[in-house]
Amino acid sequence: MIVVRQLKKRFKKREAVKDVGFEVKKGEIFGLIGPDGAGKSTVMKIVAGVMSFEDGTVQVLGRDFRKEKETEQAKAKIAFMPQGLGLNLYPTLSVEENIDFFAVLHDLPKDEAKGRKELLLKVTNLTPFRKREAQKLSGGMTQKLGVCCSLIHKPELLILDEPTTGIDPISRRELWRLIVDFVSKEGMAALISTSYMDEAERFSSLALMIDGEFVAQGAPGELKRLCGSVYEIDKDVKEVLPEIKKKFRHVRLKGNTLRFLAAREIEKTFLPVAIERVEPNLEDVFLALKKEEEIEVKAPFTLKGTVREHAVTVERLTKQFDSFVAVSDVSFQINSGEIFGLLGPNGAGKTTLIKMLCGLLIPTSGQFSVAGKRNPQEVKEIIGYMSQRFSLYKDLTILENLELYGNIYKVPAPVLRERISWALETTGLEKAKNEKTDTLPLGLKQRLALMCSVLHNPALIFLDEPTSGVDPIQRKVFWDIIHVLAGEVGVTVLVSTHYMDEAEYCDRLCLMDQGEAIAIGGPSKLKEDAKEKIGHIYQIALDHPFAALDILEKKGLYASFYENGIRMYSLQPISLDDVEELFSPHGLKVFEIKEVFPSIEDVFVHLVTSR
Amino acid sequence: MRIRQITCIFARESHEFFRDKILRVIAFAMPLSIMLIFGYGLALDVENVPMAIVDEDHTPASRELSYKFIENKQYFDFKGFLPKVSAIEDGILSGRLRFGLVIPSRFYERLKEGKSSSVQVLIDGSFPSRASVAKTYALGIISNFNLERLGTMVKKLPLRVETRYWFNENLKQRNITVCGLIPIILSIAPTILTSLLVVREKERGSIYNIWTSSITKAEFLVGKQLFALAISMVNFFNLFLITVLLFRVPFKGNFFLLLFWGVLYILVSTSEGLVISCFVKTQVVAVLGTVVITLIPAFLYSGYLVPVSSMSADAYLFAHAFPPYYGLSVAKGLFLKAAGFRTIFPKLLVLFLFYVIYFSLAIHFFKKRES
Repeated sequence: MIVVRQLKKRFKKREAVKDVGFEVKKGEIFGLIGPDGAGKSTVMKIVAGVMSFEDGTVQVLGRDFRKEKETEQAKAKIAFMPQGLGLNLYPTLSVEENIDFFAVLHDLPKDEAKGRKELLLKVTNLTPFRKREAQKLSGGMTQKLGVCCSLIHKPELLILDEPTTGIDPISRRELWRLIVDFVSKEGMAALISTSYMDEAERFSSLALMIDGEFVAQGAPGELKRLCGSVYEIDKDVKEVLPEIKKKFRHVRLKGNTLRFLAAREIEKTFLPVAIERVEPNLEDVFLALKKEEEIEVKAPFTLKGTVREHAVTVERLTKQFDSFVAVSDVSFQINSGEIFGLLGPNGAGKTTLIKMLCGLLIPTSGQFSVAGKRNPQEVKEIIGYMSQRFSLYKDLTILENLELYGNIYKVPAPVLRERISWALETTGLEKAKNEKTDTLPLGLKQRLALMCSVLHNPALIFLDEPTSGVDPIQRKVFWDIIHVLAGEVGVTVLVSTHYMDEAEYCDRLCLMDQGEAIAIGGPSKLKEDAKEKIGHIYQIALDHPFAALDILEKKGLYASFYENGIRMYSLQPISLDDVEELFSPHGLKVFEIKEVFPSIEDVFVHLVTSR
Repeated sequence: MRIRQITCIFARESHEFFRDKILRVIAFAMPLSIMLIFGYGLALDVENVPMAIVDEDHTPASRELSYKFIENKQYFDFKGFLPKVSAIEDGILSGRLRFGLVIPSRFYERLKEGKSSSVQVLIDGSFPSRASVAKTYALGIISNFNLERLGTMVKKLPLRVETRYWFNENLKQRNITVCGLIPIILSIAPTILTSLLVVREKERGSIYNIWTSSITKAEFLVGKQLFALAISMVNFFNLFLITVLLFRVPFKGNFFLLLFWGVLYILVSTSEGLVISCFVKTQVVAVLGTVVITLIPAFLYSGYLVPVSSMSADAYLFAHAFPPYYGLSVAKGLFLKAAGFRTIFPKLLVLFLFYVIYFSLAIHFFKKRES
């Protein structure tokens, strides 16, 4: 379906794609993963026929894309959904009108379009919302509608650019079922990019793209052999951490589990604690293959004075925009020196809540205090705030941005000089300090923005989705910096994110959904609470996860996609025999069953579905 | 070209249009406000000149001359008699007066003696063209006064001038400024609207739907253009009604010819908008760029403010290279001269050529693949 050979593409000075080649066959899902700005979207646009290229061959559905005319002929059978929530939809048109438009645009006969539309609405559960305007849908529904519109004309090739970024875990799972279902039933080929490593496990084959090149390519299983051995330690972590950091690469501390990579097998007895060798996952591969110098983060300053025990107190805070309730009756307290996470999908109310705490929005009702202060003007002077994207001036250089922020907060010149040199060192931008910020990769931009927000030595920082769209490595570095700020300096951090796995980096969390706080507590406590209610969770590796989900659903059992297998939820314990009994009549082969502890994603899904 | 694709683009545009308040305001309110601002604001007629008189003579003859000015209410707005010349100077300085007449003492006495007498006229010269028009009014009134005086002595004047202005009998400047606004607005507003309609999709990202579908460039562009044409025709009727009913400019020509001209002219402007939209990526740039590109030819090189025939050689050629010159001369011809099809045909033909050229450029430059 797709044959790409030696593809090259340049934008003015920059080489965006350098010598890329791959093939996608019928029924296959080919995945692209890689950091922001690696050239994934460019490759997808070229294959979708909406971008020209300089060199190499691109053959899609048997047509030669070097020729304008043949490209046009292929387009009747291609569907392309660009990156960004609902970008290809028409916001003021209803769900149904959007689908109808795509049907006519692709010249689908009327009666055929009608049947297809009903089918798509039904499988996406959008039928009750058919009259609703696209702009009034939640993030998850918007992306489902986007996929509906892409599928309406029975394309042979489906190209989706980060379809699941930023949407809630339940919608993500539904969206994946939808995609896998249609690709296998209708014999399409699909090219999909994602920033979630667990989704990447589902691709038939995938490529890791860095700086315009495919640095690794193959089935997920093959790729995992590339990263050496992976080990975990889950006891007495704090004591061995310095030792491990000295000896090994890519050391990550998530909650109480320490994970690291080793080039070759290690003696398990060289440390007093138990070291367990684990299966590598794609995040490990990503970390291993992306060459990145590790940065030592030093504490930049000491805090003036101390903040009282409750750094932030929020009481029954509500914000209403016309008839829409963005934040509804939220209460919590943040202790001094704590990393407090606001976790939830796009549209959950995280940004609105943070803006109220910064004094940028006036609450409809309820009250809050920040370091004991209620007056927005006083609050603004003691906090550091990093807004969702766009907090840097892109026409200024890195150094000018830092100087500007320092001067806005009236940092005395000698102190500012010291802190700027710290900031440049921590971001690794010393050499590039006279370059404009808009040329920086997103991960570095976000790091620089964080530096700008702490130059004035604030006791509290509010970070709004600082890691959204940033690749796993950069996210890890970002969290390292946050940990130093909180742990060594004592800064209180309020941070919002839609990545469920980042919950482990926080001391305490507030899970948010549709404006409401659905759970508050430390990550382990939340998971333990959820386990009591969910019962047992089994991770099952088998050959046709999609078919397995269908079978379980018909039996009224709850299960979901997880990496390349499924996760099954059950109140009673289940054994391998039970599962085989369930699946073997349908010809499915079960490889392994393992009971696991709930993840924060399980907690979130459990809380939302049981409401 | 498939009709279904074109109507599909057209229908979606109209759905969106009727749900998008801001776009509606831009599309309908902007042309109307230009019309009202310029229609009322661009008054080049010199009328109601505020005027005062100093009569130092106080005789029947001086009063007779004074009343000749006072009665002329269309051109002069009499503010009253003043005691002395310095009061007129004050009035002109403060802006209350623009014109003063001083009738010296012994005015009547000298006339009676058969000698020539003189009066003084003081005019605010800060706006030269207005001053010279006011002077002409004054001279006219005074020469009338002279004639009447002479008439009592001579039976008949040897030569008299009978002036008749054609096409704009009362020399009403407003008739020209207002009816000329129709082609000017129609060369700006539809262009902005069309470029916005296309660029909006680029900015939002929905243009990818067009790029990845099998719809042809022509089908897409025609669909957009027809929608812009429909909206602009509503504006066309609005502008026509305002011109005729509110500003009371007489329409002398054939309305169906004007309608035909309107459709053709809007096709030219909308095609220009399509061309512009090929080169810009954001709505802000689309609006600002289109205003700059269309405003200058429309106001300065169309013959609206300065007659094209009196332009320098370069400017003369420049004026002929843009559609507003042809559009304006056809519209004026239809409004004021009741021009027939034959007279305006060559210019309509030029407009049609502009349409063909612009639309072909749009097809050429519109790409279904980014570079």
